[in-house]
Amino acid sequence: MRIPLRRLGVYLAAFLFAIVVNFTLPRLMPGSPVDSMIAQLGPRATPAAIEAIKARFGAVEQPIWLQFLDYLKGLATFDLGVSVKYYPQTVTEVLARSAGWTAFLVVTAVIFSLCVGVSLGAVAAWRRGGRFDAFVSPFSVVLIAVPPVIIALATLFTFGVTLRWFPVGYAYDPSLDPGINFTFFGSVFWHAIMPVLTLSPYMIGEFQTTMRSSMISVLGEDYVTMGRAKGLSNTAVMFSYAARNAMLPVMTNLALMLGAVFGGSIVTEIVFNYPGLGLTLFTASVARDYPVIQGQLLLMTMATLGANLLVDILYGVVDPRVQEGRT
Amino acid sequence: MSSGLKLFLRQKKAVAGFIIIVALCLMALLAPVLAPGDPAQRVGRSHQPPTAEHVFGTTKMGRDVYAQFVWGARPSLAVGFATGLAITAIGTAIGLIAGYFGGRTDAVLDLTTNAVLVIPNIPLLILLASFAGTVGPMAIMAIIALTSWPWGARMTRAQTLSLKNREFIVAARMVGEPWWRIIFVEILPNLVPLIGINLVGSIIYAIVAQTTLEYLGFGDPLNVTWGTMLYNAQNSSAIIVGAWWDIGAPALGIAIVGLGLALLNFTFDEIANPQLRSGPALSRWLRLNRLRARELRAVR
Amino acid sequence: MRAKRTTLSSFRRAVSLRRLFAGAALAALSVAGGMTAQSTPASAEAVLSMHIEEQTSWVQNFNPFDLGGRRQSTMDFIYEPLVIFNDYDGGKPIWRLATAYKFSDDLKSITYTLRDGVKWSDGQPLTSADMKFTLEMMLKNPAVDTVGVGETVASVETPSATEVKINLKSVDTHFPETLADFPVVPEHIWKDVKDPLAFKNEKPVGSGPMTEVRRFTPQVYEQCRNPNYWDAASLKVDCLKLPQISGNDQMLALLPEGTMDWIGSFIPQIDKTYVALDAKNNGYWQPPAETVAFQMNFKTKNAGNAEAFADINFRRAFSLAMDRTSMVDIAGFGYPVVNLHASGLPPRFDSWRNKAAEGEHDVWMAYDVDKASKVLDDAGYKKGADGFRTTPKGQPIAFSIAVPNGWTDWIDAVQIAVEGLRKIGVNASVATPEYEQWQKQILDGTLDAVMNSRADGPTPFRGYYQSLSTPFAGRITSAPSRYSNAELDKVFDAYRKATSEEERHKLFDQVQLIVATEFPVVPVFNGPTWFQYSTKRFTGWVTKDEPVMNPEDHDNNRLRLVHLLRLKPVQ
Repeated sequence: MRIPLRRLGVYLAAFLFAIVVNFTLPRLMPGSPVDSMIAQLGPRATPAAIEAIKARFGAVEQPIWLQFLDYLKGLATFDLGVSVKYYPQTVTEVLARSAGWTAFLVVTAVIFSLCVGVSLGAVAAWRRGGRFDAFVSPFSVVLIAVPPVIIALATLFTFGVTLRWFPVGYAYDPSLDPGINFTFFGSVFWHAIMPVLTLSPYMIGEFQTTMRSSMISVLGEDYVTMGRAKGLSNTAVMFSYAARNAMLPVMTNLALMLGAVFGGSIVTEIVFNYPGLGLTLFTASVARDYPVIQGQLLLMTMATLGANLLVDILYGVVDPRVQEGRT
Repeated sequence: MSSGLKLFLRQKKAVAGFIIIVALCLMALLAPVLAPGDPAQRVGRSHQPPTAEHVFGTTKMGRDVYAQFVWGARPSLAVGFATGLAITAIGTAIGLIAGYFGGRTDAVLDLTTNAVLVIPNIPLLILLASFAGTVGPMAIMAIIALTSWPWGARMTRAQTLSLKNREFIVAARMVGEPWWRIIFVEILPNLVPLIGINLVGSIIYAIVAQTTLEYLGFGDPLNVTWGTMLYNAQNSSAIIVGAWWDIGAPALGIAIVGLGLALLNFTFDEIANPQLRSGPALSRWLRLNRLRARELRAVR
Repeated sequence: MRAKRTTLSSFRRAVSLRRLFAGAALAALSVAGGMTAQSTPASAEAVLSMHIEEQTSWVQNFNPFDLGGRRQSTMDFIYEPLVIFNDYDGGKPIWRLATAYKFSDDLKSITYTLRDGVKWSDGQPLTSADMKFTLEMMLKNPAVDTVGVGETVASVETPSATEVKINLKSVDTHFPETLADFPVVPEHIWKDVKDPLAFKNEKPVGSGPMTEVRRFTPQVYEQCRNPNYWDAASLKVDCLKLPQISGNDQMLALLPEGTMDWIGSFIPQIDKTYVALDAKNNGYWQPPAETVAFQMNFKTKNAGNAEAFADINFRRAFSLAMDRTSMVDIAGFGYPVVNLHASGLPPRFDSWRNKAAEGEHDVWMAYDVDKASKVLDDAGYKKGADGFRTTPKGQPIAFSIAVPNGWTDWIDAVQIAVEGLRKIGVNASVATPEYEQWQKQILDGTLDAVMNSRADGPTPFRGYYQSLSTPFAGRITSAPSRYSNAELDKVFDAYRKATSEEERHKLFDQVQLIVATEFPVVPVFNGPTWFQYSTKRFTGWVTKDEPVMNPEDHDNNRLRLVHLLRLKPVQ
C-alpha cells in the first residue's frame, strides 16, 4: 500500500464533512429554503416535485438519522437531486454539462502556471540575490495577494473590450459544431486564452515562491555540492539534481491549492461567460438553486481529494529518496 | 525585539509594505476629514470622468468615487483585519492545543484540520452565503473565519510539536508549571513570528474572499465597501461603457492592500527563518510542505 | 472614426500574435480568430439572429406549458396564438389560428372559429379537436394550466372541425384576453405524453412559422421555417438563430461584431455602445411599457405606518417627494418615461385616456419638496427631535421600501425615492431581500412598501383590475397594496360583463377617475420596452416613425409574431 491509511482517513473525513455540511445546513436555516424553492418552481411544483424537495431538505416527519441514511443512499447512486432552476433536469445532468469545461480550464491553467512558475522559481533560486530574483520573487508574492476578480476585470477591460484581441465569451465559436478538427480545437484554444491568463497569476506566484524556497534548501544539500564539485555544468546540476527534488513541495502545494483555483475559476468563468462549473454555480446561487450549489461543493471536494490522492501516489514515484528508503 | 525591529527596518520592501498599510488605515480612519459628507450622496451626473472636482470621477448614480473609495476602505479593511485576526486566533488555538496535548485530542483536531483544509474554500463560502441570503459584514466575517483557519492550525501544531520537546519546555514541566502557563509563557512567545506570518496571510486571504463574495452579490448592496463598489460598477456595465474609474478605484485599492501585505509578509518570513536570511523569502507554504513530506516519510 | 478603429485593432492583433506565438499555433489561432470576427456566412438562407432571454446554457425544452423551462422562442414561433390583440391599436384583434369568436346571447359561452386548412408542421391537419384536447388537458392537470382556464371554463365542445364552443363558469366578456397566451398543441403528439409538464418536447410539432429545430447546442440554437406554415406567403425569414448570452455585459461585448439583428436587451448608454457602432443600420425604439409605482401596504401591522398610509395627504406628500426625472435619467439611463398621471395610465394606452381624471389630480405628480413638507405640516405630521415626522396621532412612521436584490436600476430608483422622503422628514429606507423572499413577503403582507410594476394586458383593464381590486389584493405580487374599494370593485365587475367597446371605455373612464382621486399608489415612471435592431440584413422593423405595435421580442409580447412576418432580408 503506497498511500498511508492515515491520509485516506483524512480524505474520508473531508468528504464526510462536506456531506454533513450539505445535509445539515438547509435543516438549520430559518425560513426554510424549501418554501423558496417551491415558490420558484411555480406551476411546475407538482406534488411529486414538492415531495422530492421536502425529502431532500428535511421538511419531512422522519427521524434525522433515517433522513441522513436516505441522503447517503442517494449520493451512493449519484442522485444529487433535481435542479430547481433547470427543472426537470437533475443536478448530475446540470453539472455534467459544465464540468468538462472547468476541468479543461483548470488543467490548462495549472500546466501553464507550473511551467512558468517553476522555471521562474528555479532561476530565482539559482541566482539568489541577483537582479532577477530581487524583482521576480517579491512580485510573485504580490500576485498571490491580488484577488482573481481584479485580474479578470483588468484582463477583460484591456484585452477583451479595449483592444479586442480575444473573444469575451463562450468556450468556442458558437457557429462551429464541436468535432475533432483543427478549426474547432483552434477555437477552443483561442477562447481559453483570457480565462487561463486570469487564473494563472495566482498559481504562478505560488509555484514560483514554493519552487524558489524549496530549491534554495535543496541547493544547500550535499549531493548538489557534490555534483558541482564533479564539474558538472550549471544547467545539468540545476535540472537533473536540484530541480527534480525541489519539485516535491511544489506538487504538494499544487494539490492543496486546487480549492483556491476552483474559487478563482468561478470568478473567471463569470467574467468571461465561460460555460463551466463556476458559471453554473453562480447562476445557481443567484437563483437559490440549492441542490445544484450542494452538488457543486461535493464535486469540487471530490476533485480536490482526487488531486491530493494523486499527489500522494506521485510522491513515491518522483522522490528517489523515498523510494530508496522503501526498497 | 529590538533586533527584530532593526532587521525590519533594514528591509526596504517591508518598510514600503508597512507604509502602504499604515497609509491606507490612516485614510480609512480619517475618512470624515478626507471626504466629508455621506459617500452615498449624489453629487454629479452619471459616470463623469475624473475632474478637479471629482478626482476619481462619479459612479453611475452620480456619486463621488473618491468619497466612496475613502469610506469604502473602512469596512473593507476592518473586515479584512478582523477576519484575519479571527482566523489566526482560531488556528493558533487549535494548533497549540493539538500540538501540546497530543494523543487523542491531537488525533481528532488534526483530522478535522486536514479535512477542512482540503475542502475547496470558495465554493463552501458560496454555499454558506447563499443559504444565509444577503449577508452583512459580520456574517461575511464569520463565514470566512470558520472555513479558513486550518492553514494556521497546521503550522502552529507543527511548531508546537517541535518546541514541546525542547529542554526549556521539558524543564518547565518537570518544575511543575501548570499547562496554561507553559503554553502562554513558554511556547506562545516562540510562535510570534509564525503567528505574524499566519496573520498577514490570513488578512490577505480574508480580503480576497470578502471581495469575491461581495462581487458575486452576496454583500449588502447598500453598504459602501470596495467589494460592493466593484459589484455596483459591474452592474452598471462600467467596463463596457468606458467608465474605468468606477471599477478601477476599488480594484486599485484592493490591489494596493494586497501589495502592502505581501511586502510585509517578506519580513515576517525573514524573522521566522533567521538561518535563511540571505535569501529574503520563505513562505508559509514551504514549512507546510516539508512538514507533509516528513510526515509522509514518518508514516511509511 | 469607426472604420479607422477597426483597422487599428486588427492590425494590433496580428502583430501581437506574431510576437506571442510561433509556427503552427499561429495558423490555428488566425483561423479561430478569423472565425470569431466573421459575420454570418453568406448563403441563400435568410437567418435572423435574435436575443430574447439570458441564460448560461441552452437547454432543449420547447414545452409551452413549462413557463420557467421553455425556450422563450416557443410561443408564437412554434405555437401560433389564436388571436393577438394589439395594444398599440386600441386592443384590436389580429386573427391568427382563429378567424372569429362570438359570445352566446347569455354570455355564458363563447365559440371560436378556427382557420380552415391550417396544418401542423408534420402535415397533419389542425382541427377543433386539438384545441379541445389542449383545453381539457389544462382542466385535468392544473400544473399545465398556464392561462388559468381552470377558473373560468366549465366544459368544451366541438360543434364542427373548425368550431370550438367553450362553456364558461360565469359571465366574463374579458375571456378572449385570458386566452391570449394560450398555446394549441397537437393531440396526436401530446395524447401519448404521460407527464405534460416534465415533457421537454425537444422536436416540437407546431403551428407557428419556425418549428424546425435544426441545430441545438448549449451555446446556440436555430429554429427554421415550418414546411407547412399556413401563412408562408408572409414569411420571408428562413431561420431564427439564438446565441446564448448570459447577461448585459456579454451582449455589450458581442455588439461590435455586428452579428445580431433583433435584440431585446438592456444596453446602457445605447447611443454610444450600440448605435455608434454602425449608425447607418443600428437603431432602437424603447417605448414606455408598464407603470412602475410605489405601493404602500394598507394592511401593515405597524400602527404608525398604517395610519400614515391610509391618509391621502401622506400619499400625496410621498408623491411630491419623488424626483421622477432623476429616477429616469440616472437610475434608468434615461430609458423609462416619467409618468405624470395620478391615475398611472401607461402612455401606450393613450386612446383610453380620461381627461377628467387629469388636471387638478395631476398636481401631486410634480417634484416639490417644499410643497410636500407643507402638506404634511398642514395635516399634522410633526417633526420629532430626530428630524423625522410622526403621525397626527403621534405615532412614529418608519418603513423600508423593498426591491429585489440584483435589480440594480430599481434599487437605484428606490434610493432616489428615499432621499426625497428623508428630505421631507419621512423615515424611509431601502431593503433589498432576495427575489423569492421579496415575493413571499409581498404575499404574506410583511412588507410595508415596495416598488413594483403591474402586468398589463392588451387593454389597460388587466393591470388595474389585478393590482387594485379586492379579489386580488395581496394574492399576487402585483397587488402588494392590499387596496380595497367597494366602488372601484363595482366598476371592475361591470367592466367584466360589458359587451361593447363604448361601454368598456366609459367604465374605464370611471376607473381612472376613482384611482386619480383616491390615489392609492404613487406612480413614478413607465419602464421601457427592450427593442434594438439592425437593418444590415433585415428591413421592415417597427420603429418610432411607424409605431404600430409593441416591437419587443420577449415572451410576453405576442405581437412579436406579427413583427417577424413584417421582416424582409436585404437583397
